[in-house]
Amino acid sequence: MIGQIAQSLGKYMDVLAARQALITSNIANIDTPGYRTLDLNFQQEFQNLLDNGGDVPGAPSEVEGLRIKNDGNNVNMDRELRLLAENSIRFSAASTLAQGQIALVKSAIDSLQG
Amino acid sequence: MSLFTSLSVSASGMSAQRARAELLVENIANSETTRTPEGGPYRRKDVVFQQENVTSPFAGVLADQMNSGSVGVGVSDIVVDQSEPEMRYLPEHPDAGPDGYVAFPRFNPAEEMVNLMGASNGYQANVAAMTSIKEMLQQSISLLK
Amino acid sequence: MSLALPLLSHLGHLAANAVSRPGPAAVATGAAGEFGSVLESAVQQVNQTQVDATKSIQRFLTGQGEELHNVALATQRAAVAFDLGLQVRNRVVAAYQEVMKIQL
Repeated sequence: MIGQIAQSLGKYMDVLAARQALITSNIANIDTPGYRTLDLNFQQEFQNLLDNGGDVPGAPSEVEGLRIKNDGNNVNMDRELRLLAENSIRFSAASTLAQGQIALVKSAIDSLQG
Repeated sequence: MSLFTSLSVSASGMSAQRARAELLVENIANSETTRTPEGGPYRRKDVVFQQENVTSPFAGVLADQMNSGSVGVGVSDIVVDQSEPEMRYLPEHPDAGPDGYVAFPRFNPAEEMVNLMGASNGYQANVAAMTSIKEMLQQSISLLK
Repeated sequence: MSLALPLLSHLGHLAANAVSRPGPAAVATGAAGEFGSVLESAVQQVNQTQVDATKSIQRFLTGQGEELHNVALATQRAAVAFDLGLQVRNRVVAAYQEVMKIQL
């Protein structure tokens, strides 16, 4: 009813939320010996939700190419903080866009009156 | 997998870094302590982190099984430094041994400061993460307006 | 709006029928048949959004990991569907009354 775009925005936010959960875990475990950074392939998971429905993205996987410290931990603080910021901004954008879509439809319905 | 669980993850990160910082501060404060209740000089302590599953306090039973990627952290152990103490020749010192040497804690100020900064940065990063999650949740509520 | 188009197009259909087909009885039953089924499916659609929204809120409250933004979207979807349903219903009733006047 609200439209395709709002549906897509909802799925976008689903993947963003899942990714933010992973980033949060990485940050919490910055000093945990042996811990490996977790992440998901954003566009792949987003496309998957668009094609197959549902709202839970797939399982996360380890990230390649990160420097492993002496204690076996490979969390890069700069990477995580950067992703945290971008994720947050994208979520904000998506929810604002969705608000706009809802307002659009509501005003269209109001115009039917009278 | 709810965003609320991530709040617990960040909280666990903050707790862990705080515990670490507390021990580091204790190390620094006791850098010259030659006498302890256990006998001998103060021995440096450190935390061992390990990953721990966390849940939201509001979660139901099923939510525990849906734990796809939310990993918190906890302190699994406190390690006491077992290396040999630093011996200094101070015959008049009340804790001097028969040979005139006093056992002092092994203390590397630079190392402890770097560790403390690490704990502080880690703590702040967790705070940033929690703030970001809170903002996202507020945004979701705005959708209802 | 997916709901409005079939209903409004049926109104036009109805008006055309009222003018060209002879006999009020034939038009009335024909109209009621098509109209009734379209209206019924429309009501079902609206009802479904309400059901989905309720389920979403339920899952959220009982801590089953429902994301807050999904609850918000489901709730808004239901509110918008209901609003639209209400507006269309009012229009349909008014238009039907107009058409009935033509009969007489």
